[in-house]
Amino acid sequence: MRPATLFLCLCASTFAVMSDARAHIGSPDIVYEGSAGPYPLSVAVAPPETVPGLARATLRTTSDTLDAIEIVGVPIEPQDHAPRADLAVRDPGDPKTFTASLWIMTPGTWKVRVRARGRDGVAELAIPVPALPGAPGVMSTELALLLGILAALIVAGAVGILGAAQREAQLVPGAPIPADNRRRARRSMLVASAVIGSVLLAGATWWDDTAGRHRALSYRPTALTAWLDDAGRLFLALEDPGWLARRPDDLVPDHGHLMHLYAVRVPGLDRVLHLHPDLQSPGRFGRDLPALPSGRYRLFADIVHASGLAETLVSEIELPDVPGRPLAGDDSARAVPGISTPAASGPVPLDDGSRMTLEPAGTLRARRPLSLKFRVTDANGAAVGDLVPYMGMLGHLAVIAHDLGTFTHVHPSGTVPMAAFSVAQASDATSECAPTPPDDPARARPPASEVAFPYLFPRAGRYRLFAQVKRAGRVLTGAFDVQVSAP
Amino acid sequence: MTSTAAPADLAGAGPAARSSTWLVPCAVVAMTAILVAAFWDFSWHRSVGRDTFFTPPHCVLYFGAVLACFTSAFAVLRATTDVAGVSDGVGVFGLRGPLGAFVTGWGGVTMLTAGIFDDWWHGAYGLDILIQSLPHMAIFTGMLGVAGGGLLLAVSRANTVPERATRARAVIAYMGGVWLTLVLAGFLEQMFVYLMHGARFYCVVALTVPGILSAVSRASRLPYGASATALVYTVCTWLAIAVLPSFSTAPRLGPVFHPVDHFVPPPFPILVLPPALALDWLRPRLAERSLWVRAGLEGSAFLLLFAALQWPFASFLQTPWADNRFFVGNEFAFFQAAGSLPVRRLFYATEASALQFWLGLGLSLVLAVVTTSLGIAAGEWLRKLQR
Repeated sequence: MRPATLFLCLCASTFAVMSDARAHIGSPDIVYEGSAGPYPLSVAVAPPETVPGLARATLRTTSDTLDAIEIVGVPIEPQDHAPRADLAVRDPGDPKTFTASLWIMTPGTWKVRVRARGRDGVAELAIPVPALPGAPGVMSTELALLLGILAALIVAGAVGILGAAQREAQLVPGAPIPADNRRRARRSMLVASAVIGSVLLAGATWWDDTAGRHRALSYRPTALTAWLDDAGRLFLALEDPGWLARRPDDLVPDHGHLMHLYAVRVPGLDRVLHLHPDLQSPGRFGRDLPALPSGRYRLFADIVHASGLAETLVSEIELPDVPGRPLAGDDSARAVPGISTPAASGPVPLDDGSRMTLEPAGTLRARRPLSLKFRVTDANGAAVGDLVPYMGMLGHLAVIAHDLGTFTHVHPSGTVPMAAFSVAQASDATSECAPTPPDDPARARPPASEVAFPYLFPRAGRYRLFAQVKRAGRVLTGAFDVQVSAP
Repeated sequence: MTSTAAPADLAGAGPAARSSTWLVPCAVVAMTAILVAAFWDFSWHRSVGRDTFFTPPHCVLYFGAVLACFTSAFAVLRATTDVAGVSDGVGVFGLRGPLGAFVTGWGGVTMLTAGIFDDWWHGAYGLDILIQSLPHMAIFTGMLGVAGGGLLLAVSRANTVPERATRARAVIAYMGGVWLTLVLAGFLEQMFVYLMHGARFYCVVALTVPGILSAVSRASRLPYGASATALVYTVCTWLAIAVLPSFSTAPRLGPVFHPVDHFVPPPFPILVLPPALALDWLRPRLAERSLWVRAGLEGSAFLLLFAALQWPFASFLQTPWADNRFFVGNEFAFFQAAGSLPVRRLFYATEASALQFWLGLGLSLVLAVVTTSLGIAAGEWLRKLQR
């Protein structure tokens, strides 16, 4: 190997970008589209900001026979007992929309158990929800000022009352205050001030200790380190910084693979790879790369732990020109125009000559559940009608913010990884009936020309959408740029 | 030199003294509301779990705090603005009023301020199921302020209005019992049955009970003042045990480890009544002794008798014979895991070695003597309270 190449390989920087590696990046809301038995349901869950804390669920149905929804949050493991469920509140403006708050009490993975009751019977559905405590909140200046003033009054009041007790409390009404009493009162007030000061100091120490313990419980993502060997093989190592019972070697397959890796060249997002690294040893993965131009690549690795906890691990790697090897298995890659290029309107060309269109076109709004529909047509504009499942799904969508602050891997069923969904469906003694199983990928589908992804953009900004479908044994990737407005 | 002669009747008394006629009953109502709220909220946390700003027990707590604040503020304003009346009450930063009114009002303001802090705390560090968090301790301090102020009002009334002293002394015993109950509620996490064979439990009791009994018994001037105070604590606690399970409920938080279908009552009251009787028997017989002799003998007698009774009684509470509506040995919170020590009826050693245990018991004896001395001094001071 030429020294320069070796040098570059060795310098293939392994930036472990310790960003917020929850399931998806910068897009905490859980979106699921499916059904509870005979009742179609679209569910959006905003996880709690603190743990213990409140998660908020919004459920929409198209059914006319659904009468009520009961909802409760429980840990994802099978439970012998469950708290009493809450009745979701029907939206007065839209009788097919329900809302509820859920109390999530411990860090880890929970599930939202939805029990739908109606004229077609009772059915249950369980949706996994991560409970990942963040950093402790900070008190606003206004509240700190208010509490500070009140605390000062309370302290002054205590000192003054103690002084008054020493000075006058044992005198008959109308009696003059002896000088001795005044001196004793002043001494008492000094001592009281010192004691109260010590108590406040102890309280501040207690507060620090609580904040420290909360910080220790704060979610710490599994670290991802990536490097390239001289044969052009990408290696990834997972390292657990220590958080709850999670381990880097307790992963479960999600639609057939232990890891789904998206790699995009930054900052232009003009190269996208969807790879499925193989397990080399506990916590270590490897995969041959296809031919790639040099550049800096941001890596997003989706994994699911045996507990049902889903994570997206983030790293970066500086790559030289990689001669590469042909793509294998379910891997895919595509070169697309960079985001700096003016966005083209209308259909985008796919590698097999067909075209893909995004509906709805136009302005999208953040924090609003929507359906991103992609339609594939042939060169003449006719619907192709021959899309087949790609890793068990009719399509896969990667949503990446242009500033890389958001990454979400979405399926037609939503943002919930299927492996986590399966863990959540395990029934327990507290279920009234068997939960609805996930959609069977082997079930025959009518010829498809389009695929829809339920999603909720977390914030305003520009996003690139990489939509992948499969036809005639070939994975096709379309890239779209969208502008999302404030809610 | 202080003068402790009391005025002959209330008609000629100042505005502060006159206001005690309605302040004391208001303080009793406020303290009782706070006590009910404390028992109910504790049960709520163990049975329902779900805690918001406006749960029913919290509303009762706010009622007690607001009542204390408003009645105290009214009494202080009246006394401050009544320039033509006899100058009575105490002065605090230009305001005048009964000492007890200032303390009660201070307690109410502290409770309400701490409530705001607690609400922020839940948003920053998550909803808590602990009694002993920083904002809860601040609320608890306010509760003791309200209760303490009420006690001061009743004591000053008993000391200054001899015609009403008998009723006032009964009120003192009641308020002292409420105060004792609230103090013990604040330390409940160290006082569950499974901790009663550890020295830490006896240190907590020594730190709290004998001092309060000594102070209240002397302030009330009742021959069985300590016993009356202990009886109030015992009856109030057992009333909570009797009433709360009559109301059905269910946990509203997960995970649920123990099925609960009613409000879980507090643990059976600790056996402070017999040692309180011993204190009442000893007190007149030691009246001429020095402070430290009295404290040494009374404190030691209290703790030794208490330990001799509570230790075997704790063993009884761990048996199936205590699994009934009277002793409530089988009542556990919904979050109590099946494999935990309390559910398995096992004692937890709070000290790591036998040496630490005996040192801890020795410390509890020292604490009992020290707190008894403070209680005696406080009681003597209260006997002279006039304003």
